[in-house]
Amino acid sequence: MKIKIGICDDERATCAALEKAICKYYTSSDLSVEVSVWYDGRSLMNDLKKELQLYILFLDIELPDVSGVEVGKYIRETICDETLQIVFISSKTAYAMELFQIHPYDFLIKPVSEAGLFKILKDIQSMMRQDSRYLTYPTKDGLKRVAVGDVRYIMSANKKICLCMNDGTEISFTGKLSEVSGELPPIFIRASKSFMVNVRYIDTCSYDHVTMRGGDYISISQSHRVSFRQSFRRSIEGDISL
Amino acid sequence: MNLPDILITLLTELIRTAITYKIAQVFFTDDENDIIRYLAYGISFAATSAVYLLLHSPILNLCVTLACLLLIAFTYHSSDIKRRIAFGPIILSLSAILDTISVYMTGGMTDNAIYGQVQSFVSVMLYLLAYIIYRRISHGHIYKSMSVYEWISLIGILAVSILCLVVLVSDAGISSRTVIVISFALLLNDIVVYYLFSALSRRYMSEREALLLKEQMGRYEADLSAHLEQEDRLRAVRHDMKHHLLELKALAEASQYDEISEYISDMQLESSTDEPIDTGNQPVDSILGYMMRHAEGSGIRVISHITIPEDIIFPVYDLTVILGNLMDNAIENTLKSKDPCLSIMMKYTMSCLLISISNTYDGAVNESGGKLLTTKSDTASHGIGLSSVRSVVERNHGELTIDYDKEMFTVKVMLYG
Repeated sequence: MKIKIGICDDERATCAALEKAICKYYTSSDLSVEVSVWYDGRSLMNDLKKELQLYILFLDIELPDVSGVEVGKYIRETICDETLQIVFISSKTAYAMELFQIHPYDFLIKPVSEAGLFKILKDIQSMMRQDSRYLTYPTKDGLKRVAVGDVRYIMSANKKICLCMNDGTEISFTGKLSEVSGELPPIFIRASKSFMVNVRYIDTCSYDHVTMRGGDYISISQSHRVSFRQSFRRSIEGDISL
Repeated sequence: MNLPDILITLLTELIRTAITYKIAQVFFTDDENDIIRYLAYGISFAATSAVYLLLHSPILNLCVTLACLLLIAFTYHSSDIKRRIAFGPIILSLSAILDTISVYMTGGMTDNAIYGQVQSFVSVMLYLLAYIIYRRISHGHIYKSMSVYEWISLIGILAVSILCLVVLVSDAGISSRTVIVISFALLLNDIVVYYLFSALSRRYMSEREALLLKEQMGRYEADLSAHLEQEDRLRAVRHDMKHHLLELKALAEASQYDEISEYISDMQLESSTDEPIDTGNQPVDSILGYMMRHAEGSGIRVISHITIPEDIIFPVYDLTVILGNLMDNAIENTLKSKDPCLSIMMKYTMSCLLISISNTYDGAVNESGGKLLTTKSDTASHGIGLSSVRSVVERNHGELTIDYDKEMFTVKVMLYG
């Protein structure tokens, strides 16, 4: 398996140091890595239109031409890529609210510490493993499968299950939510009797409901509130393990 | 009708009007009374009593009551017109239902005047009961501080009185005078209990508010001293700057470039340790900065990892209470350990804020019935720390969790957006 990582920073020294550290991390891993570097936001945005299939992007907030926020908005809103994991890099520790609305994976402070970077790479790798698991479902033409990382949330009603996918499509089949939930990694949390949500696609979380990226509103039932909160908090703490 | 009967009728009618007034206050969510409104209630009381006592016509009675309720409703100017029109029919149908229930409970319709009186007592009690339930459902401010058990016992007292009346009426061996006196006493008793309850709740609330205010003042004091300290340090930096520039100028004149470079890196090192927390979020920076300098000054190793937006995301007061108290506790706790160390993590994501503060400690935990008690010697003043954090967290629909093993003590607070 190969992981594609992008770096975008106008400081060449930062790019070089990051690239070196990333390569060092993957020499002791079973994954191979391909690192691409951009020195300005404009050229990155042009290249993002092509099928780059980046999985992680280290993005400087203070780019000279277009800011990191604009690049982030472009990724999430214009080309609608919700799966690219953005890690903001900055020499400051003060962040604007807009940055959080882009749903970054994390923030790294310059000069980047190797320990901090390695922790992020390790966590993202385990996340990738979870995302690439498959969920199989029956159809008229036999069993089919989808990567769980592409499922936003799962709905069930009248013995029917509906997978709401990242690209906006829906997949329906006969089954029970309790049967499906066994196949799912812990990023899926039960919000009510008939809903399971993928934490990674939550836009905002309130105490009694979640709003998914894409705007769907799912309420958290009273009976699932305690367990939902517990799992949700763990996922934020980064305690999700395989 | 003799005089005592008239008096009793007037009194029950007065209580009825008072309860109607209470219901209207909740129904219209309006607290500003004027003279016209009191006048409307007065007219309503006089008119309904007069019609009831003088003209024994149920139809006329009904019409006058409805007209009076409409008159009352129209004094609530700030309310929606639909709500004002609906008020009369709602109250009237509620009274009709309660009257029917009271007649049914006391053994059916009768011409006996005594039964009529007792029926009206039961009906008034039911009216009071309906009001308490309605108030609970619509979250009146007094009942917010009342627990479900307290509320159930209040309802219970009323229910027991009604039961007593029913038993009293169904027993033929008791004289009618006794029935009237006891039932009237029960009714008065219930009203006194209700007022006592409200007064106690109100007093409890104001005491709580006073406590919160006191605590808030303490927090502002900490905030202010943080600012003053910062001011002092800025003055020191400005003073040092003069000195640094002179030194650098001297080195430059002597062309000692290596020394200049070394001097500048020393200065960088110094300035980087200047501000322990710089998130741009002013309240968080000031309270955490103050706490962390205080901790480092006492020889505690502090680790922080904070990714939060500059904008203020939760009420400043709440954040200050949470961070101030938790940091205070953590610092005090970790100083008892051989290796004093504390770490603070704050993360904002998906519009939620997770705060996690861990510290090394001596392993002594004082727990009772699942609730942590303070291990500090002065329990009276210190027990408030964690409990005020808890109440702030609950108010924000968040959650507080405490984990500990032999070495580390961790408190986590999660606030939802």
